[in-house]
Amino acid sequence: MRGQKLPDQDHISRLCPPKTAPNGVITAAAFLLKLEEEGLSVNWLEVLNCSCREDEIKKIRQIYSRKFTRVAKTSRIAVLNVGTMCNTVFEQSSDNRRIVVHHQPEPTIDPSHSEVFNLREDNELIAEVILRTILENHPVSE
Amino acid sequence: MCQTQSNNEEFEGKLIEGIIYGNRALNYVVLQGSRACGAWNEGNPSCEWVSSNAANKVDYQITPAANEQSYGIRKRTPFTEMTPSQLGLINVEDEKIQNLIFQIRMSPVISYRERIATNLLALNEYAKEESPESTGISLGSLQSFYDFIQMHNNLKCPIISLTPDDNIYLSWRGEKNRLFSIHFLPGEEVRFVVFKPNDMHPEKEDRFSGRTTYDTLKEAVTQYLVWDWISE
Repeated sequence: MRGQKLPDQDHISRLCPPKTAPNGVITAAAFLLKLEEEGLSVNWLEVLNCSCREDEIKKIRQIYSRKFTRVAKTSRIAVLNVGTMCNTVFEQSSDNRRIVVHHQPEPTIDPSHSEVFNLREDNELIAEVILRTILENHPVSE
Repeated sequence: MCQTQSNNEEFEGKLIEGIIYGNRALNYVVLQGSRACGAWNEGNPSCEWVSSNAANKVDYQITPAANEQSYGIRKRTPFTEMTPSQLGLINVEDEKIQNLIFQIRMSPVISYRERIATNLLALNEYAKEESPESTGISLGSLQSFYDFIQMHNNLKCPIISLTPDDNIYLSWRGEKNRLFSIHFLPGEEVRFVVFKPNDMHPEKEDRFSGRTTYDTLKEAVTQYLVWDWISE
């Protein structure tokens, strides 16, 4: 079951492990689905109720520390605007794909967890389009 | 003699590392900021080869382990939970991967072989670090990639990354937002993406994607003139 749809003006972050972001350069591989994965995991930043992006990223880092047993220090955090990402994919994908982001909270561990839906594992072109809409690229460790 | 166990003594400055590579293990010194620069250089006095039997008995750490938040000796506990047959399969697959990367580094016809091999080694370790059950780079994907770069030896050095399923993903970026990416699937197939300016309306962009085999890719994208700008 899908949760609340994220508003266009809000922002999401995506954890990009070093295999998808060699030397800190995020590639489209970071936005490809795993085989049989339904949605692309992201975090809804505004739901964290922070006053600035810096604090949001700090909270996201804390969530990753709790949630994953190990996070490579050279991983990156990509920040994207929901509306820009979805609209750009609609305009630039060959099938005018309407991707949507829904809140899929994981209580206690990751209340900001969300997922991007309507992607398929063979969506390299869409992954390249999403890559273009990255607003910020933060290190996973301070 | 093998000194590969727990050799990541420092995370700043000089880093002494060991690596098991194919049927050999190698100790070498990496300075911070450089990656595996001494590997396979038999003239390097810090290199030391040991037999595969000796190598298989030791745990080892290489660069990505130093990136973990939990510093110290990397735990290999997941391996102890595997059955001997699972472990055997992983070892066999891992050796094949390491051998292929070694062949890339040694191939006289591959452009940027040193850089490509070094990047692949790092990616392979990142993949294994992320999931201890993983054998690293998908062997089928790596084999196709190896055959591809042997066929096309005048290409500019691409950005190499791994997909969530550990397949090889190459990207070249050129002027005017040109893009060519190849996803090497575990079989002989590849999926590709091309972004290029429209021939008649350069302010507009054409975007294409498709699926073919690695050995017919060049022909498949001929009409997009991709090889003109990814070649040297």
